[in-house]
Amino acid sequence: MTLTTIERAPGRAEALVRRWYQPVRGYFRGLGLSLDEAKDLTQETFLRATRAADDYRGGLDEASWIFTIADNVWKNELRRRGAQKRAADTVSLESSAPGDYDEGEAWLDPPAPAAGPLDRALDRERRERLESAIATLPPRMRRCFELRFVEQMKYREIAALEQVSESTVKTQMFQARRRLRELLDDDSAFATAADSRDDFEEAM
Amino acid sequence: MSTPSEPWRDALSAVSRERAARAPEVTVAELVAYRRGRLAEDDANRVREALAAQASLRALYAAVPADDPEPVVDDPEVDAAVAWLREQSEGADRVVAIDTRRSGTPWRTVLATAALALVAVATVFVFGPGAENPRFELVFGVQDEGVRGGGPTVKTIEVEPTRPFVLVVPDDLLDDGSWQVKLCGPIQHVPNRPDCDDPILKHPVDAEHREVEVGPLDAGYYVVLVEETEGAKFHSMVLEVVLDDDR
Repeated sequence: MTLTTIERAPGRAEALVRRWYQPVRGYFRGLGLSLDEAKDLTQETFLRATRAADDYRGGLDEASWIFTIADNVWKNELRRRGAQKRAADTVSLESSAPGDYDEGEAWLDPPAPAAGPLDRALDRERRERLESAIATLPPRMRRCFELRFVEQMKYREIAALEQVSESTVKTQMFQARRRLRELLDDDSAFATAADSRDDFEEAM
Repeated sequence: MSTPSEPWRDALSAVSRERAARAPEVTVAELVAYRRGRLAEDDANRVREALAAQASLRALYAAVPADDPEPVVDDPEVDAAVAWLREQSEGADRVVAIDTRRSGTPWRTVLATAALALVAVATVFVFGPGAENPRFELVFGVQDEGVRGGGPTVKTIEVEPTRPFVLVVPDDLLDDGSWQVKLCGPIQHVPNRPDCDDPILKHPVDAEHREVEVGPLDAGYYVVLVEETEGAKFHSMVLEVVLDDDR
């Protein structure tokens, strides 16, 4: 259904809510919001949608339109939270009672031990090597590897994103590990992890 | 699942953050099209790259159903949302109460139909074709006609996040030929070359019909191309869309 239909038939507004309430709330829940927060933003989305439906005569399908609004609501929420956090930081700093700390003492959490120049150089070198190695992987293989190891996603979740079968993802992962092992074989930490029996079995 | 050791995890995370910063721009409409298998392979790969890099996009992807879902009835939470929206709507009763769980008697159907017709007439009268969406006249540099060179003209407009707007082609731009307006984007930066190979909108225009309704759009830069449909002439510019969230 196009939005022209919504515009011409105001009764469609309720159907719009009934059709899209749960997917939109699912989107906000998927962003890690609590149920109450998700409900609030979902209602905000539909409030905007019902107000805008009268004006809208564009070419977007209904799903694209409602999720565009939801996405904008989320961006606004992020900005609002950012502004609140900045305000809270200011209040926190201003309201800290002088004398609670010795002069010159940090009033925030104690900083983590600073990495030394050697550690920083090793970190940088490690990252550059890894980045170079990952960059040599074909795009799909690279994405599968990153989603698995960085994002900790399950094979079936990666398969859904890539719109391929789970076995394809497993094959891609197996080949990615093999290639990276060849490129990074002098780093025992990574090679050990990549070679581990469990991971190998899962990949197969 | 076994994972790389902690130092390597840190390195992977750093790689991931850098990748997220370089992730391609994807619109919600493109994501929905990809979810539903309606995107060309090149665009699908661009969406996949964005999905791999952005957690918020993955949340959106997970929420979009493969097909438009059926309306939900008998769900107290949805019922409450409908009731709340009905209270919020100001006077026009835009959320019309139609209880889809009951078949209704004929007289009720007649009354409901009459009420719908009345509201529809009121809606068209108040908000219909006569209602003025914001209008923005496009601006093109003179060097753009058939010649690529120099920087593109950039025009910034501020629009409501959920409301369409109208782009107006300047009246001195179009001759008697057949023309069309193409819109590409959004992108994060002003492009060096204002190309528009994969438009999100195409709309015919001529000397008499110079208005194109657009939106709502995400914030960002968009290339606007006005080109002859059967000729070589074209004009291009860059539109910067800024969302006014307070309205």
